[in-house]
Amino acid sequence: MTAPSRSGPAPAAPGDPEDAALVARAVAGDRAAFRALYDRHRPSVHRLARAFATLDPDDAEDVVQDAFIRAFGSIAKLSQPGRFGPWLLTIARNRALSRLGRRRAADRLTEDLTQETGALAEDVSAMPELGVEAELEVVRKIVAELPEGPEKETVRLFYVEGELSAREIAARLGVGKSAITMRLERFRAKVKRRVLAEVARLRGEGS
Amino acid sequence: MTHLTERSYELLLQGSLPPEDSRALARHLEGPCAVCEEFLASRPTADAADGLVEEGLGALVPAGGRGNDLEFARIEKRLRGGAPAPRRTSRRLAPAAVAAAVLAAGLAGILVPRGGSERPAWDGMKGAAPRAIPVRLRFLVVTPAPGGSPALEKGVSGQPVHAGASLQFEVESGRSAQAALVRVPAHGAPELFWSEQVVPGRSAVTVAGRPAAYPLAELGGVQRFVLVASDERLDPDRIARAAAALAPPVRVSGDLPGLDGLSLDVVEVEVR
Repeated sequence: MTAPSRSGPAPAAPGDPEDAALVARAVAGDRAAFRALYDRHRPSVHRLARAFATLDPDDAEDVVQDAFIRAFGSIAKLSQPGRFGPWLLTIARNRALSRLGRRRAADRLTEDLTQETGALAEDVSAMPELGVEAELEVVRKIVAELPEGPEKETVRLFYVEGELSAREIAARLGVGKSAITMRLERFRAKVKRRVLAEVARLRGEGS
Repeated sequence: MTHLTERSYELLLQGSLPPEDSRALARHLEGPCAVCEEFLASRPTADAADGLVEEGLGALVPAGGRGNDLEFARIEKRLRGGAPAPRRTSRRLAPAAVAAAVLAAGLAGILVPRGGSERPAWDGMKGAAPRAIPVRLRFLVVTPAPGGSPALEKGVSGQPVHAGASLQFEVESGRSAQAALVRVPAHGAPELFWSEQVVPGRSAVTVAGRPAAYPLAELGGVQRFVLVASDERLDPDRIARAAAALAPPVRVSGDLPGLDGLSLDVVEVEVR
C-alpha cells in the first residue's frame, strides 16, 4: 500500500499485491487461492459483523459466509484485484445492514448478487487509494480526539483492544445492545468523514 | 458551509465532483460536522468509501475470528450451486415437534442444538490430532411454558440457564465420524449420554430417531458439554479421559493435554 501523496494526484491504485496475485489465481480456478483469501480476510470481516451488537453470533457468522460467497462468486468482476479487501468489506457491511433490516427497501433493488457486487467492484476501483497506513492514521487521530466518556470507552474496547464483540461490550458495560451499536456507528461516521475529506482532497488535486 | 448532500456525495464517490467543489468539501470535512456525520451514519447501504473505512479500522489491532474448515466448506458448497446452508436448522424446528421431543427425552438426558457463540470459531483441531475432524456443537435452550409450546432460544456458550430448561444439541461434522457427547461438571465424574456415527453436515441429537433434549433439572453451576469425535471407534474410557481433562474451570484452548487423536468442541451453561 502506498501512503497518500500531498503533492500530486493519487497514484495508480494497485492495492495489495498479495491480494492481487491471489485474486488472479482464484479467477483461474485455483481453490487454494480462494482459501488463502478467505484466511487473510476472514478476521476483518468477522470483526465488522461483530460491531453490530444487535446481530447475534449466528447472524455475524452468516454475514461472513454471505460476504465471501458474494465476493467469490463475482471475483472476476474486480478490475483492480489488489482492492479485494475493501471490496469484500463493503459487501460484508451491506450484508450486515441488510440483516439489520436497515435497507429493506434498498434490498429490493440490489438483492441480485451479480448486480450488487459488480457495481461495488466498479465503485471500489474508482476510489483513490489512500493506503492502509493513512487510513490507520485517520482512525488513530479520531480516537485520540474523542472526549473521555462512554463512546470512547466503547471504541477502546471494540477497536483498540479488539477482544470483545459489541454484544459482549453491551453486557460488560450494562447498556443496551442498540446503544453500543450506535456509539460504534457514530465513531465510524467520524472516521468516514475524515476518509472522505482525504478522498475529496485527492480528487481536488487531480484537476 | 458545504454539508454533504446526496448529490455531492454521489459525485464525490464517482470522481465527478468538480475539483473546486472537491477542495471545498475536503476543507469542510476536515473538521467535526454533526450534520455530515449524521448523514454518513444514516446511509442505508455501504459504498466504496466504507471499504476504506473498514480497512483503516481493521488495521488498528490484529483481529481474531480466524477461519475454519467447516465455514469454508459451506462457502464452497454454495459457490458450487449447492442449496443454501443455513447454519441454524434448530430455528426451524416446529415447536410441536420440539415439545414431543422433549417429552420423548424424559428418561435419559438428551438434547439438541445451539447457534454460534462469542468464542472464536473452532476448527475442531484441538490437541495433537493427526487426522482432526472439523466439528461444531450447537444447542437450543428449551424452556417449558405452562399449557403451551416450550420456548426455544438459541444457546450461547456461557449463558445462564434456568434449571427447569433442557438443552437440545446439534452436531456438525466435516466428515463421517464417531461422535459422542459428554456432560462434564465442575465436580464429579463426566457423564457420557450420547454416542453415534454421524455423517458429514449437521446432525440433531436424537433418541430413537427423534430429537431429544437434555434436562438440566437437579443440576447447578457451570455445566460443560463436550463433543468428542474420531475416525476410530470411540472407547468410553478414552472419552472419559478426554472429557475429564476439560472439566471446568479448565480453560479450553488450542493445546489441551490428553486429547490424542480426538477432535472436540465445547459449550457450557451456568445452571441457576
